[in-house]
Amino acid sequence: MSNVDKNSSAEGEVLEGFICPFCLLDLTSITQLQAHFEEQHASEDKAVLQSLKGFLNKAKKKLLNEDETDFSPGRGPSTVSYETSDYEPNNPWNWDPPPLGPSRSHTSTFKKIRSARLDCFVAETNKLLIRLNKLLTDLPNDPVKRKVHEKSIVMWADDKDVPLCPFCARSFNIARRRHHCRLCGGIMCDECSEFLTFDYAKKLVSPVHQSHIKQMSTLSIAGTGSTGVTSSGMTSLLGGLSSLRRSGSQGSLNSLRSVMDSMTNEQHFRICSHCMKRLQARDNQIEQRTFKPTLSDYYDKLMEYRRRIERLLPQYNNMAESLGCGEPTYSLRDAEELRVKILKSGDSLNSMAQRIKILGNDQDATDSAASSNALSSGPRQELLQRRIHSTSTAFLKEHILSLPKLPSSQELKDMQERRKLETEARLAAEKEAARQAEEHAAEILRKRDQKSRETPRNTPVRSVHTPLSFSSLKKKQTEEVLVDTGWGVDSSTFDVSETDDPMVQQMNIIRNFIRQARDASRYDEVATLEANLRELQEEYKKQQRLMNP
Amino acid sequence: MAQRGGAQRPGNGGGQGKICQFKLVLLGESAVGKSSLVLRFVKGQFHEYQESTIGAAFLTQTVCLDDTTVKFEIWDTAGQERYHSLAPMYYRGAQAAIVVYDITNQDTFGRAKTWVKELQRQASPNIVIALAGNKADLANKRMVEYEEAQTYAEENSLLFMETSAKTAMNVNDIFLAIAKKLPKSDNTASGSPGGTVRVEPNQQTQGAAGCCK
Repeated sequence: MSNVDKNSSAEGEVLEGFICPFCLLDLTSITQLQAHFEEQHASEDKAVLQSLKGFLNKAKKKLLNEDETDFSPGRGPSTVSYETSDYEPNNPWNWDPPPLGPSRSHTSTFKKIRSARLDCFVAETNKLLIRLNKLLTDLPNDPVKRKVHEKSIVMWADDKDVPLCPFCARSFNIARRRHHCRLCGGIMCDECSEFLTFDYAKKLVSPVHQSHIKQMSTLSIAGTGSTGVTSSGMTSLLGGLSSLRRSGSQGSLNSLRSVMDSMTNEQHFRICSHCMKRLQARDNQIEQRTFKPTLSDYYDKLMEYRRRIERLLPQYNNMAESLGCGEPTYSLRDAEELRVKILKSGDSLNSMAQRIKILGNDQDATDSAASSNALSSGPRQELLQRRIHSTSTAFLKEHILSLPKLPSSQELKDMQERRKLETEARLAAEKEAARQAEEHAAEILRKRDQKSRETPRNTPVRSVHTPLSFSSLKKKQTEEVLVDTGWGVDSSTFDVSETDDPMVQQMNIIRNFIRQARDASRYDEVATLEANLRELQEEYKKQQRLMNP
Repeated sequence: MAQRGGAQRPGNGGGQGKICQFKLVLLGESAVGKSSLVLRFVKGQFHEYQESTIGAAFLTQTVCLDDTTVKFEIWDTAGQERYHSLAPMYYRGAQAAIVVYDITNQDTFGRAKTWVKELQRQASPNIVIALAGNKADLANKRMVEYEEAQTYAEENSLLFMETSAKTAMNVNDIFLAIAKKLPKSDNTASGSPGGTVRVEPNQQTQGAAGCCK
């Protein structure tokens, strides 16, 4: 029993550590505390003991959780139930911090107000789109029929009701005629009309709204002449009907335009600027949704360079190592070429990382997308950009700066020479050793034969090496994976001149293959093909010698 | 075919990254579908009007087998008679051969038997030979019975499958069966210049571009 008085804790000092709640003794670890408790105070208070156990368990869990996050799924339900059963919320040992008082989320209110406004807006836009879709389907070419078609879909406002153009507030007369918006039926003057090209209209109503931003340019805004009318007039002419050109006095420019219109099949709907704004707003919205920020573009490129380097590096390291040992497998030129390729990719990666780092900082960037993007870039994006840059730099440092050096051609020659000599020496040594062993064996055999001619020779059972009975393996193994890195020469891209000798022809073919393999950076294949070419050449020489000695 | 495009980096997760390289040669009468078979295996493609091969074409494909990566260097030889003189150059150092015939043409089966004989006489003694009865999709025009070929294959201890480059039937299987039968102990895959077994340095995958913490 500890002799520390319980009252000492009331003096205000805060004790920390694994302290026994009864005797306030500091025990240095959980296990020690638990052991101490069970030993010393087991009889004192069952409830406290239980809660202490629970507390310790929870503390343990916390500690373990921090160390290994994968632990939680493996935990059995028994622990959980143990805790909940022994844990009342009012327990003084409760680990959780007290709640911070009442809180309230206003998000739902905000969303309600916002969606009400949006709904109204969206409904109106959708109405326009539905009408536009109806207008576009089965639109007659003939202007009279077209007008009927348009009127059948949208109620046109009565001319009498509108004395002034609602947009510019000027009165209508012979020169300034009334025009109807094909979407809302409203009236405006020619100058205040907007023209919606069929292409743009089709793009708007198409279910898969392709985000070809550049198509915006096809949109003709605020016509300088009454193009819509003249074009319809022109089509009527082409259709061989009686002339209905309502603005024939408009001059040759318009008729020229209309000719061009009908030639390119580009036609318009006349609509008011109000409807146009709605449609454009929707278009912009969708484009924004599919818009890819410049940063993401840059990042994609960066990752492409990085992947290229990652793809080429093992190959290069292989080659460098092989060349460094003086192996004749790869040619030095290929390795150098590959090295240049890797370095170039590294360069591009570096410059791309730089661009990402300064993206948004140069406000005077001519790229409008970049500057608009810069407006939205907060500190988080800057942080992201910096991190991308530093990661790329680290990657370059690790892989490009440590790129193994290639031997110079002289060094390589020396090394290959040395290697050749070494192999020859080794071969000779091996041969010698084999010969000696043979002699030795023969000696022994002879001696044994002489010694015991009558005793049946005890031939040791030769351990037959069975190359793993593969048939006994399971028929369908999931591990079998076709790695999708197959490569093959493309025989269709070249013409082989038909020569008399297939051998010569094949040599030409192989040369072509080598070129292809080199282009595809498949240097292992280059090595194989070159070996084959050498073989062919030797064979060919042999043939020649045989034929004309 | 469902296995295609699986693991991109072999020998990375499995621990041992053993890579074996084998030279494989395709032999058979012309127009039995040798090139189609290889094209299906290497690129997963099939062309109805495959041009006839000139000389010998070269393709590579890698398969994963348990913990080994097997790389096939495939020499697809021309079937035409005038290129016959090239064939020995390609089957000489080969560890495996696929002799192909057309199940709708009895003559090609006879030619296949001649090829097998030639291989047994002149190729390396441990060569793994597979017999492939191609164009199995044209079973209604069959001229070579399955049992006949099967018996012949058994007598000569060949691997045998009927394949179809068009429907991809048994194409991957026959290559995998060969890969399984090939000895994969060290130093057996010699013969080709890059034939030594290279243990790939176990490259760790680096955490992709640092993410924000």
